[in-house]
Amino acid sequence: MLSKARLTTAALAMVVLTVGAAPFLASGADHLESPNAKANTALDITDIYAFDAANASKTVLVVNVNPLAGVVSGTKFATNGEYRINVDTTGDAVADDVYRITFANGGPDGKQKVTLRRNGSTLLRGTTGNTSNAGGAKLFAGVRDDPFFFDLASFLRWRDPDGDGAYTYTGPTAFDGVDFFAGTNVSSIVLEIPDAWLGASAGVWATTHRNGSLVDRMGKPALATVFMNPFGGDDQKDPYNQTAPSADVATWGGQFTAVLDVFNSTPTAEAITGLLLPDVLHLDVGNLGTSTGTSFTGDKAGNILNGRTLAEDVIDLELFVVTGGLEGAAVLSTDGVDANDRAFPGTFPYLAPRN
Amino acid sequence: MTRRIPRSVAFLFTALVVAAASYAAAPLLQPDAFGSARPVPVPGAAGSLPGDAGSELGSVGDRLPLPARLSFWAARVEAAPTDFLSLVGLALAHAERARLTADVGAYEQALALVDRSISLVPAYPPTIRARAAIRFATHDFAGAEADARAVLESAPDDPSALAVLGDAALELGRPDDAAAAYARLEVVAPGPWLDVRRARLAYATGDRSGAIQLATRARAIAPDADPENLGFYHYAVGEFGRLAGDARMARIGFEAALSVRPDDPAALVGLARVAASEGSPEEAIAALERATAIAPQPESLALLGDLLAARDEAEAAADLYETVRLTGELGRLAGALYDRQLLGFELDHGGASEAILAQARASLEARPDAAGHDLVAWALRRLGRLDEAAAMSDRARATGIDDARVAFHAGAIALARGDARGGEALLREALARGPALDPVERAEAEQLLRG
Repeated sequence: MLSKARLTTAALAMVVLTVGAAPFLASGADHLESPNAKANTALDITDIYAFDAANASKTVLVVNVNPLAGVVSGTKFATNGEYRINVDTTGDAVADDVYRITFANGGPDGKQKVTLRRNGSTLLRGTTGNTSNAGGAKLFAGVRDDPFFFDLASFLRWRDPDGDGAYTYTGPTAFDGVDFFAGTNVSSIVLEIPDAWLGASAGVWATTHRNGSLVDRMGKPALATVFMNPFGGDDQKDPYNQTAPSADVATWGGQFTAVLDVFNSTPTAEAITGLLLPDVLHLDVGNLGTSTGTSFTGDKAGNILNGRTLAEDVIDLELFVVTGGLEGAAVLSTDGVDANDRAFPGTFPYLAPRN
Repeated sequence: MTRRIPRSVAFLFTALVVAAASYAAAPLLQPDAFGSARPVPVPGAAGSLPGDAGSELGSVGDRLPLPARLSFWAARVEAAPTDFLSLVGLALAHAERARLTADVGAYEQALALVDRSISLVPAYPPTIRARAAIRFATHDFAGAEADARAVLESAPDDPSALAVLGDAALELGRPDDAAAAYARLEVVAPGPWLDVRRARLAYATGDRSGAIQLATRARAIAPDADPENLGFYHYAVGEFGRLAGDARMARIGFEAALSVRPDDPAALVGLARVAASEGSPEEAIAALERATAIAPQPESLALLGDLLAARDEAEAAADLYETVRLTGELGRLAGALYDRQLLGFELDHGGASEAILAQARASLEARPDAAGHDLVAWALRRLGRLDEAAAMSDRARATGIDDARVAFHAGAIALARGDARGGEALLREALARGPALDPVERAEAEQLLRG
């Protein structure tokens, strides 16, 4: 039986039920999931992660943007936008601490200038591609391997085998087990901060902003992708992304349950919804897992829904739970891809080097 | 000194021939028969919607060079042949190659790849949307429209599909349908990509000043972070200015486009037209030589040939004309892409025949717009079938379009039928629009007026 905590991440992504994406890509975790994100790939949050640092008294928060950087997206960070990591330390899904990361064009070497502020105070300045360390924080911003792994193409085939634009699966599952994101890059912001800044537990989500408007947000993986009009257009995704986490339950609870009803009984769907919203990543800071190698064995207490490590196979878990695994046999429990194609070094900035 | 383009080189050019246009791949700013296949704010290319289905077709930030992106997608397809997403990625990269290098074969590759992708996953809207863009670029307007409708069935507000729906309707001679699609697009995604489309619609329905205003507004609000798109919007202002006869506006627009994208063949051709109308053939020839080296389209090759012929460089001109004629023989797709350019070329270079007329009629049937009617009218005029020509010319003008070439053809037909007053008025009207007529057209119109 899955724990309540495990349920949480679970529903995360019936993944990619969506159209979306720039050219032809559908969302991965949160890649290119909404019109605003597609129009601003440098501000399109593909994933966020939170895990224990190599120094166990510190925590790593990662925000990735620019899906398929260099191929579909560019590689630079937006200079007319802002990246925020929001931290709720009181459990009300309202940010108590805000880490703002902004970029400016640099010199002829193409590197950008980066500034990190915490609650309005400048913590450090640096340049992309380099590690900066000051004021208790350590920051890297630059292109790295996309740690997300998922057989996106097989999933989309599975989702709609008869091509009628709706889920009508009746036969066996045949996944190729090919990681669509293998060999792809993202532009990554890696922030390492003392555990004390987070407290014993925290909720974390990232947002991006442009001209004062919110472009994208992400807490748990793929919620907008999966639950906002999954078989239709993109019309709900920007409104979802522009909702404050504190308003998630009231605004989107019904929608989540409706989607989960496809494979689950209504009581189970409602239970999963209650765990998914508000859309923030929950951190039991003292027990966060680490991101080394490619395997994931849970956090320090053996649980699986504490933050999100780089190696965590959120897709398998989500497929299992969303497709009815909690009520017996899951219609689909794995995409056949169990790990990233590149090992994680275990040291700052933790993500594998760019491809 | 004779400027001679070696035949082997010229032939190679044709073998590479471009499809529709320098920019996006499909005609929009003006119908083919008015002189060229014009860039289109086609999704994913210049003038595209943000994050559109074809961002592989346009430039997005600091992406890798096209060869690297082609290699990226090709390696993925080789490693996983059933990866339908990478198949589309590769298809769109080939479409971009076609647009940039004038390689019709690349369009054929793009179509084959996207069809293969759709055979694996038939109802995935982004791939159908990508095929819509490629079909539009290859002048399969009916196919593009069908794809757009298919996307809209599952995603009624899909901006890219609405854009293609409107664009295709306009190319197919249904401006009201285009207006309706653009009205829907305005609700979900207003922006310069919509304004420039409406500029084209305004021009096609006779509102020349409205076209300029809309194109100017599109340029004003276009983000300057994307050189390809910004260049396109500059180009659009220049082209609508040229069509309206405003040489100054046209030159400013084309030069601005070239300041952003120095190798923009469409802007080079536009600049050449302006220079030629201003009596600067050397500048025009230089611009055309650059344009044909980048994207050797029949229209620009013919224009260059005309200017060289006017300078008594008959051999070089003949070589270029031969290259133009070879274009249509390269394959079905090349013929389809350039049908109106090639037919118009023949009609203005002594090649009128019943076969040409039949081809013009077929083109009109496939694409019943003002340009199609005008082309048939001009073919009938060349064959001396004046009453039929007049009737067809009237139908072209009945669309509402207010175009110098249509006026020139209508004037010539009227004059031939004995309507000296009406014919001369139309010819003067056409000539008054300076760069809107090409040199051979101006020469013929002036000769007709001289009697």
